[in-house]
Amino acid sequence: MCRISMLPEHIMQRILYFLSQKEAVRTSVLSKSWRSIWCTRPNLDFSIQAFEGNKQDFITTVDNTLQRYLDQRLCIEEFSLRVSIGGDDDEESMPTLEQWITLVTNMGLKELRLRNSMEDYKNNHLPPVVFDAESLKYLHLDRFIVDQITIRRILLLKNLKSLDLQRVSIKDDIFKKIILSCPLIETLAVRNCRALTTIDATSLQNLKKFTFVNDNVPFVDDCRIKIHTHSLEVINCNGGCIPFLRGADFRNLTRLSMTGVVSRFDHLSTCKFPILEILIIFDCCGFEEIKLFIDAPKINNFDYFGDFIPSISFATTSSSEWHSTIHLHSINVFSSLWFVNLNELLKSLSQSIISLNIDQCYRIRENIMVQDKNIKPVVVDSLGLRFDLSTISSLMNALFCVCRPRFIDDSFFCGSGWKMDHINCLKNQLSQLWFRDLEELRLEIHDKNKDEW
Amino acid sequence: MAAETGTPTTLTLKSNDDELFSVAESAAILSVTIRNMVEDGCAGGVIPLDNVDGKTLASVITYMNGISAIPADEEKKKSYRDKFLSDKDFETLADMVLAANYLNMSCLMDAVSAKIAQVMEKKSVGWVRRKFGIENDYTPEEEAAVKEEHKWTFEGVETDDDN
Repeated sequence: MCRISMLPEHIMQRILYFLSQKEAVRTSVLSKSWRSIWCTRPNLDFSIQAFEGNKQDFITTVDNTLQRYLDQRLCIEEFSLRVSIGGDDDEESMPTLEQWITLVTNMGLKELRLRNSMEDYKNNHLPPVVFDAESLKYLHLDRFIVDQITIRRILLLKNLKSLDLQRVSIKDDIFKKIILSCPLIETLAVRNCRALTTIDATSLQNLKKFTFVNDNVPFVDDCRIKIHTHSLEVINCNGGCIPFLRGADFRNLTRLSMTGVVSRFDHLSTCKFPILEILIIFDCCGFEEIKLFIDAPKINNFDYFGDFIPSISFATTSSSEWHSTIHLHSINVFSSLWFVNLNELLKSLSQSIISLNIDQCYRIRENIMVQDKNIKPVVVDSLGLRFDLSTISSLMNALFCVCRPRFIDDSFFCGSGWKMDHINCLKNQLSQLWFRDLEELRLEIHDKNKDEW
Repeated sequence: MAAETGTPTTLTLKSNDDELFSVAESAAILSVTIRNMVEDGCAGGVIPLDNVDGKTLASVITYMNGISAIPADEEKKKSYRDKFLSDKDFETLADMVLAANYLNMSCLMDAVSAKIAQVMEKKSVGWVRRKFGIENDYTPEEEAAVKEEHKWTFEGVETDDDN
């Protein structure tokens, strides 16, 4: 007999805590002793979707459940609700929601998640009571309007540690007011909030993790993000604009990830990242013309993905072994200068283990000559290529002048529409090239160059 | 005399089937039960753990050593926990949750509880009863009444094949 049937109630309670509301309630059918265990768990989680759109059933179930908690004077620590309200003909839903939130915020609520699945938001103003929940530590809102009406009163969320706004319509002044009244925030996430043009998080002295996403809102102005809090440990930005301040000290930052950030990066070179381990620059613009220097002695991983070769170098690192991954895509002009620049980049990364990927190349001029005397090929740990068969020899010749790959990742050749014949043919062609090149490269490099074929 | 460079203190734990295990004190004190014993000075000899068998204790110690070797990085710890639990069968999970409860290790307790919950998800009532060894003490009428009361929770669930 399985020992789990003899588990004490508080352990069963803990297991039920991790189930969805639906799954947890269903355990009441297992046996008499399971009948009411779910009724006392401290987290409630209701979704209109579980009721297949039957709004009245949904409302009744939530009403009854809340009433039972109230009658038994139980705590509700976490309350998650996925609703579908705010349509033109929907006037009763909001007062119901307001009533529920008023109830749960008086029951010791710590985490509140409110998600609205209604796409078009016109009438879905967030009920102001949300901002009266003094005990609240975590607040997640999705698809609501937060405006003057919502926060006409004094905000009482002074214990809030985590704020996550997704598709929330909020203006700068309202956002600022919220931030200023929640000084304990440690985690801040802003995802696809239209109307927001400035995020100033500098007053948040406890901020550890900042996430910004703007990938799904067309024609929105870039949001200016001011984040120079010493306490920051993780920055993940997808979109937006980060004006780095001269000499800023990111003394606790371990991860900086920027995707599609459009910014002037001039001052990035003067910033200090004493414990930064991960730096990701993914299709960002604003540093095509400048030389970047990253003062990050503890760097462990550097990932670059972009359509131009950046000029970037790192302070001498104390990490014994670190990795850099360079992925160049949509390159439309190959010239000898391009290869010289590539060589420069590889040289400045040569204290790391380099992976180089080159992708989607267009027209390549035949016979690019790389004849700069300063060019010395840099050892690259792995090389991945995806390009047109006809241009191979030209590219490979130039590429081998600037780098010495130890492994060639042939999975990279398998682009869509390629047949096995093509690949085999390519392999043959490549291995011929490879050996031809090896002859030219003299013997000393021979055993460095291990290949999979 | 103990070296001043801080030789790690080792504790000896004894399972209820009399197996002995050595574990570094720094790892063992993840258990609040053991930490209290150490702080009260009761950890000099062998620490008897009357509610944990040898097989489970060995597993718990593997976890203690693994997780304490990871620096303060919640994501890494989480991925360690996921990996640690990924190959455990249901009976082992049940033993571990009881051990974690007895040893007062909240992180392990939560991880195992979450794993058990994950196993239960979308399973039929019959499946859960079998797996958990739960005896159905409802009369058919009572069971039907409970089901009716929570009708909405039975949509999209595996159908019972044994009822």
